[in-house]
Amino acid sequence: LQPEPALPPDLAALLGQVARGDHRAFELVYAELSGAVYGVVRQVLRDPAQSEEVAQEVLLEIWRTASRYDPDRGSPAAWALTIAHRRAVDRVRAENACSRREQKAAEPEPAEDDVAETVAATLEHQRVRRCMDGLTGLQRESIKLAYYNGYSYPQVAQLLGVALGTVKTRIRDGLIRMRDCMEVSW
Amino acid sequence: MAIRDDLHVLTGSYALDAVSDTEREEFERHLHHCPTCEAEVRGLRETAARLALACALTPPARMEQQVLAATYRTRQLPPLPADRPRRERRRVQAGRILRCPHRLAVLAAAASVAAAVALGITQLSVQHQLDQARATAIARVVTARRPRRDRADQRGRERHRRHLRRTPRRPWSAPAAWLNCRPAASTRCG
Repeated sequence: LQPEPALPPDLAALLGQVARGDHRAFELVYAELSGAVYGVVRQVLRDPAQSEEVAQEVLLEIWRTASRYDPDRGSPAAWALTIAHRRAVDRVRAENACSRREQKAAEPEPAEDDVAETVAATLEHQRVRRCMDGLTGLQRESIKLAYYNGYSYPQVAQLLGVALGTVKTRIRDGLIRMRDCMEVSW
Repeated sequence: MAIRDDLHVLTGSYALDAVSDTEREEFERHLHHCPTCEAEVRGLRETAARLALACALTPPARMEQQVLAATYRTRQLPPLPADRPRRERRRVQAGRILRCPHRLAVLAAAASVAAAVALGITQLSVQHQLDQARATAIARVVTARRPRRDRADQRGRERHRRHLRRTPRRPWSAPAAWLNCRPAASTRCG
């Protein structure tokens, strides 16, 4: 099996340097994580300008809070991408709270222009896709709607026309299966 | 119990940020008391990170310059006080052990094993001392000057031990704390 190309072992050490105000180390962290940060924010928000703005906020947040990264609680990538995803979801919810006109965002259509921008993380992409294929339809749809579209599980339940408890269980079972299929270590 | 099961099932939705703010807070409180849930969340978070890595896109080129420039204008948060999380962790762990009856049983079993081992060691050392006493007695018979030198050695060792007790231990943690020291006034940022 191949080592993780996207999770180099020194990212935690780099974050330590960033915490001490090392701009050069931050450039390396940026190079390592900006693609995934921008990708996941864009996946949730869709709008390029808004995604760029939120991705910038997230990367600056990584700079600002690097000293709070705790290796006991997960990998640097998981820490950074949790910030990114949550920020994107918060933005969606804040907008939904202002105006309830988000119905059209419900269809998870893949944006055509994404293809041109896709980063060379194709190995990870293939692996995720392969493992997604191993899920049941309901597990796959629940995870995609929750993570890539930023829906809450009650919204997912509504969209899929199933009970709340079912969605919660399917998301958990599906993720556990994904974790085992991708041989995620934690 | 139904509520507890409900919360545990929430690990997946929590890891994907698919819960409301209220549920998130409630679940995070639950995490403090549920090491199993905490471990599961950690694994599912890593899994979610793979989902993000799989859809990585090259950001607009200007973004890098803008972010790097912004870092020069942005003050960083200081680390959390070094001793606090450790103390909290210890307290949490103690809480976990006390809360879980089977853990308490494991702890009791471990304690009794330790006691048994200690007893064994004590017996061994008593035996060892007896052996030594016998050896000393034999040595005293064999050479007349040897025991006196032994007693002198014993006195020297005792003196050294007293000296060690009197001398305060060097604070080894001090250099690390000094290296990590940061300007204190930085509480304005949230």
